[in-house]
Amino acid sequence: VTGERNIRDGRGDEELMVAFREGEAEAFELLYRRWERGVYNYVLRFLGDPGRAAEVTQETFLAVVRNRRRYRPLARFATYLFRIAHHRATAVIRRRKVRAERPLVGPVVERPPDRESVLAVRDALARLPERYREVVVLREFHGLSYDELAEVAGVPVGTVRSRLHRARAAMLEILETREEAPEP
Amino acid sequence: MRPCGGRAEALSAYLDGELAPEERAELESHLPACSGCREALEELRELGEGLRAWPDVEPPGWLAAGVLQRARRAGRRPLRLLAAAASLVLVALAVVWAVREWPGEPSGGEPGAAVEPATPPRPVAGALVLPEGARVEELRVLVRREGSR
Repeated sequence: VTGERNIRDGRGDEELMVAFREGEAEAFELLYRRWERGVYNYVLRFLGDPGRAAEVTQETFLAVVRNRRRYRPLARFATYLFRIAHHRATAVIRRRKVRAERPLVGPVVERPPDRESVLAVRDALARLPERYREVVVLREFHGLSYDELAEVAGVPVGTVRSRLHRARAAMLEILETREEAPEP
Repeated sequence: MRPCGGRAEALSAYLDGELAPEERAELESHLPACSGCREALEELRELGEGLRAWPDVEPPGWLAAGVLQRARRAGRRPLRLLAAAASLVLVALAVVWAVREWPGEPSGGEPGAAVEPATPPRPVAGALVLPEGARVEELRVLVRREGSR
């Protein structure tokens, strides 16, 4: 999980956010350095568009700045941050009709033996409906627990469990179909 | 390979370490005896590994500059508001002082009393010459007479 207690400060994310709320501007900069990459990559894998990922990442952190006085450390800062990013990203999907089938982008892993399988897995993820894709991304890449996923996506924990199962089953099926398909 | 007896969802949650203790115990006692479930679990593990092999991407360089600049501006906003409030108080104090100290306004004079100018105004050619100390009514009459000439 990105974030936590690195980047030149021993304080946890929640302590930093409280310090920022109390007027310590440098605390936000530390939080930003810890989480910029995580938020950007979550949105990039969710939306599949680098331009929109940057836009949503920016909006997410600016919302943190704007709402800092209302912040209460009731949950992990990561959950709070990803929830904001989730709302912004789903608004983009609604507004601009980002299509679920749109291929995800990003640099290709330059490890020849795995390259094909990595691309295949990415392609399978890109084919999932957004609500499935999101839980997979937050679980596999950011290590959120089911409780945290429920908080971010605004659904019950049982729904998270079933979405993850369905998402994985659908991805395995896509990969299986791909393996069975004849070479073009 | 398909897992048996509708255990697919439980396997997915087991992989995530999110099964309740009793459900976990039940699954763990079942797995050694069921090759279908073991293979299905292995497929799920490989899928997760395949996903995590996709590395993070560096965010564009301009992103941090824009966000941090706006955050710093937002952080300074209370100070700017304070400075603006202090300026307003100073202006208000200056206005009060100026009104109290205004030289043209005698503090203890009769209301409506005529004020003597420091230097008498110079007469303008063709202008109506008003008698000193004339009342408003007398001035109106005088103006009407001058106008009717």
